[in-house]
Amino acid sequence: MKIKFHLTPLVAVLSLAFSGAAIADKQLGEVTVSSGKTTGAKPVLRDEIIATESLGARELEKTGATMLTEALDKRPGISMQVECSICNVRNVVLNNLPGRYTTLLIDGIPIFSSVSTAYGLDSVSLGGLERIDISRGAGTSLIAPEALAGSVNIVTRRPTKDELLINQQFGSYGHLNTDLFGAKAFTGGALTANFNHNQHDTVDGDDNRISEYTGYKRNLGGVGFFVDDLGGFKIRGRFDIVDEKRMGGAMGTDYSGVKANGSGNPFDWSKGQNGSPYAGGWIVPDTGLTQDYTDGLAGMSEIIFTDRKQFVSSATHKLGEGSMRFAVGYAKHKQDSFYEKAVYKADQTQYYLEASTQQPLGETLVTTGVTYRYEDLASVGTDASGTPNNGIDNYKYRTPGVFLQGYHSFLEGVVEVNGSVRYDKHNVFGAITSPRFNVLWNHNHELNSRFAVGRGFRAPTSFFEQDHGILDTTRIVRNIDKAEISDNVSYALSYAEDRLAWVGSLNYNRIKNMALLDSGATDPVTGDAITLFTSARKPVIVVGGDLTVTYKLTPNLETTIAAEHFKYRFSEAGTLAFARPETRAYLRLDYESGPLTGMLRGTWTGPMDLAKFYDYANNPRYNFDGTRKMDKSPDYWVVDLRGEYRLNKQWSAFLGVDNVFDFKQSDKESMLWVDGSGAIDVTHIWGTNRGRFIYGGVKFAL
Amino acid sequence: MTLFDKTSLRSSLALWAGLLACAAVNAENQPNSALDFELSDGHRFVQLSRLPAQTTVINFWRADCPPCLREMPALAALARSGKVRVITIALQKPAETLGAPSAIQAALAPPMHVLHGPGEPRGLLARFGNRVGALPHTLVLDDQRRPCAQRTGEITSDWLDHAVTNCSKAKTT
Repeated sequence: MKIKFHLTPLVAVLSLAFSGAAIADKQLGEVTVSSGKTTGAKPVLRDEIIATESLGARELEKTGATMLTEALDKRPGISMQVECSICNVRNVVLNNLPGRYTTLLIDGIPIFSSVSTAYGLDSVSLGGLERIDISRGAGTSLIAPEALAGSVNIVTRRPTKDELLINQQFGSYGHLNTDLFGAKAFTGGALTANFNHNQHDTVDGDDNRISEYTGYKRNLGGVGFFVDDLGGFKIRGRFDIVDEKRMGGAMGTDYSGVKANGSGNPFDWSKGQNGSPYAGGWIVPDTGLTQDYTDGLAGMSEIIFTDRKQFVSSATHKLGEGSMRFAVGYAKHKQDSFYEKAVYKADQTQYYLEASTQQPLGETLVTTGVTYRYEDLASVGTDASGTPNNGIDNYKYRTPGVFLQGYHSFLEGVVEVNGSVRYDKHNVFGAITSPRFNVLWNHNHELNSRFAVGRGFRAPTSFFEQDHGILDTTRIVRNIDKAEISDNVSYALSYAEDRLAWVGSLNYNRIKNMALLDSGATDPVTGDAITLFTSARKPVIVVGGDLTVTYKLTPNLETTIAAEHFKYRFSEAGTLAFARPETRAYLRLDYESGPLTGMLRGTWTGPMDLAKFYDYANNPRYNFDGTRKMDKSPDYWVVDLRGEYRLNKQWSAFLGVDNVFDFKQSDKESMLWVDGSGAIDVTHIWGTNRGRFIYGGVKFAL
Repeated sequence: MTLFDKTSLRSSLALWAGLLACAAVNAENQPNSALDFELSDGHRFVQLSRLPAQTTVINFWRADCPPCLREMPALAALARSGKVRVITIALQKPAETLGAPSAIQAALAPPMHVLHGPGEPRGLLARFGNRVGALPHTLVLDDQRRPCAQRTGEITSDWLDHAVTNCSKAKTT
């Protein structure tokens, strides 16, 4: 008896090369296989040689996420971290490394920066997505070496039929979310259009009239196109527009009124845990005297308007036995912001160009290509006193690069090896070489090992690298001449059979030259406030492991149990600037039967060493009553649930509750803090900033 | 040695132990052995080895895979002919396959057996000869559940007839 056809690994990879998305990375989308015996295939395994977690559109729906940061939160090794209680900068944190080390790609094209990810991650449209691929570890992306912690690739879906999808959601705190997606499929291609409106009120959990959850109004719009054959090219692209307004601190949406309200005390500092003995101000810990607050709504408010336009497109063409690919990305990002009376307006332009080819050389698949990245920033602003500090963080980075990658499978595909190297010539930080090496060992059909070692580099920028370092300062002193370098080693062992799947991974991350912003410095001559921009002298090491087990209990019920444990080694304050736990645990149940689907998940967050992360030794933190902040945060659970019922083929209704047991940090400890001299800040964050959130809505699909 | 150093050392050792473990496990490659699965049809788990012995066509598909949809009528026609058992395994949740056109929903009606694959289908696909996970993927199994033909990519009625015929011949010989 003979097997009629067998798809060898090399043939398969060659086939997948026509995916049109990130050929260099073998990130897979809809493909047309023309490798002799097969025509028309769609791969369902993602970039097998690199450990990648793929979240499909259905999974995004089941969690009730309305924005990217929510969609990625509460997963082993992946979380969302809020870094400011009144502006709610949200970062996607991989392996518990700083969020700026996570690189976001759209269809394999890196077109986000530290400026655009500060508030922009919330503004990435989830409409029309096929999936989100998350890869942890430096060097996971051949075309994004700055992904020191890993990459998040958003893959758009090529519609195969006409579609109209409407999702209308209402929720607590004035939440309103409208998603519209339309697609027109035609012979040889498709067009798509999506629109999203999302708004949420400011939320004040401790009644001091200062929000912990920032209010926002966001409008996103985009169009996409897919052409299957234009002169032999398979082309896809999309253009997106973002318009967002957010304000935190003061409640409401009277942006101009808040900016104009610059004196007096509209807040109640006596509210909340360890509140001040009086409403008008707080205790100065060093003296025990009181300090009145007199800066009005403006002095405790942050208002950020974001205006973004971006375009990404790629084209793939058969070339010899392999293929070639061209990709282009463009983004124009504007931020008009008001930070506690300081004004900061940033204007950024980014370009990305790529040309690459993937060819078989004997039994080895070789990918080579060139990239060019351009990123600039021009800012104008004033400090809180009104003194101009225009252009303090301006930069222009130009980075041409070349890359070479070889893939080979041994022992009839039992062992697959991938090695690559990038060489980039940064106009400020010079030449940087970043290699990576991956091995996939298929022990048997169910069990395999992945080993990866890689290096990434990142050119630091002064915008929001740490805290609000660019603000309320007269100039930035740049004592930094080295790129941040990350070395990563990881191993993952995974098992997948019909009802049971598990994956365990170990990660070692070592980051050298971590950028540091010290916004508390003063000019030795003038005495003016200045910001020092330096590199850490010692490397930061983060080592962790996680285990996820999924088991189908019944034909309709699946359970997932997972845990992660991380250790942090750092000695310089400001390197790992925000608290993070050593341990998290996850429990999830997914139910699906006929028209009913349900999801219940609990996320346990272990204690965080606040004294270490927030450097109490050199800068102790106090509550408004003059007492010390907690050295360790308490552990806590957050439980979410969501159910959906399909009324008929077109209509569905859903109802969900996030944070069912209403746990919020402000019930235990305020996110606000003062130092010994009584100076206030908004960054004492270790817990959830919003309590129970109830939402529901309807979906329509045609 | 600090506690952290010890932890790092332990982690590194565990990492390398894992790598060494790789060498201790032999890869399986037995294309002619009887295949089996245990998958949900939405109401119960179906185990292939517990079904009556019969020539069986197994097709892996997704609703967003055009060639998968194009070949579905041929599979349905074969199922209706009664010559063989046809099992489709969707690598999507039931709610996701509802997005398939109504003609496909009709094709999936009995006597077709409709099952849904696991969320992580790598092991299942590899076991059924599709380690790279390309779809559609179709196998013909003899009555001993051994593969006698398989194809990754769109199939035709001719290929299906030919494969089933050859499989039946192999059984008689």
